[in-house]
Amino acid sequence: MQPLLALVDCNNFYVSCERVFRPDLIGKPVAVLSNNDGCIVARSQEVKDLGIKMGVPLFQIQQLVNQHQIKLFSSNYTLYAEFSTRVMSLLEEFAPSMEVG
Amino acid sequence: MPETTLNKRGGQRPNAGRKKGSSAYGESTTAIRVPESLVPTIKTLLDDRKRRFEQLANSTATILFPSKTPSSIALPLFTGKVAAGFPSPADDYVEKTLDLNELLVQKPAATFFVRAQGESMLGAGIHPNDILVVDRSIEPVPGKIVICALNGELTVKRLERNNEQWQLKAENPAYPDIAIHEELELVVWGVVTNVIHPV
Repeated sequence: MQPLLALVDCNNFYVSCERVFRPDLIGKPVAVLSNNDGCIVARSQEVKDLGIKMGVPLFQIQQLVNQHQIKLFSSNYTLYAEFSTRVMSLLEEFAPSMEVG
Repeated sequence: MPETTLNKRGGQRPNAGRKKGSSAYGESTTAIRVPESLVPTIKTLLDDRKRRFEQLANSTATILFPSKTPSSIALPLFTGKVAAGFPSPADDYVEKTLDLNELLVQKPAATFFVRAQGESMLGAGIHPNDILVVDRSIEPVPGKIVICALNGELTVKRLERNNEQWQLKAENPAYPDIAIHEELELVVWGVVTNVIHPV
């Protein structure tokens, strides 16, 4: 039997983590900032659709943020690590072996 | 001078006094007469409750994660049912052990703890500040108690369906049921599996 391979990627993971506890933000533009709130490191689909690129400094897009009421979060790595662990433990139920790339 | 009373002959002024549920205990209070000899006992009891509520209020997070490295404590489980009266000596032997993590958390990866607020689910045994064990992997079917985001606000209610009409039912006659219709922004967040309530 051919071995089956699955490639798993979580969409805008940090934003998804923040939205777990803020269901009111589903469907609204949300972005997560890097350490010290310098740059954009995660963008919801709504933010991507505005043409905001990965890694841009916040000050360059401040006007778009105000105009479209983009909800910004400082990064919370403890939270993201927690959800990452949970996703991995779920995947482990389906696959005999996993590689993290 | 602005009008502050509805009834000019005295009586209750609107919005006067302490807000409902803002006592040191987090719920409404009432005045009672007690025997003088019991005052110290009752005071100790109340202080203890007050302290417990303060501790709860200080831990601000309403959604908590189960520990990542759950310890396992298997304690003896007495198999006889406990009547709140005279214990039967025949029940006095241990048959197996019970681990609370195992009992309360079936799917660690999908389980969260949520602190209950308000009194709308008293009838289901959910009191203010109780800890709810929430499993997000369980399908929310009618009859289940669910945590849902209603217009962006998290609330706990029982999910019910009459014919084709879904509704969120409060387990307290003082609270209205909420019919689910299209304009309502509703996300069912998870299903409550257990309530942890201090007595």
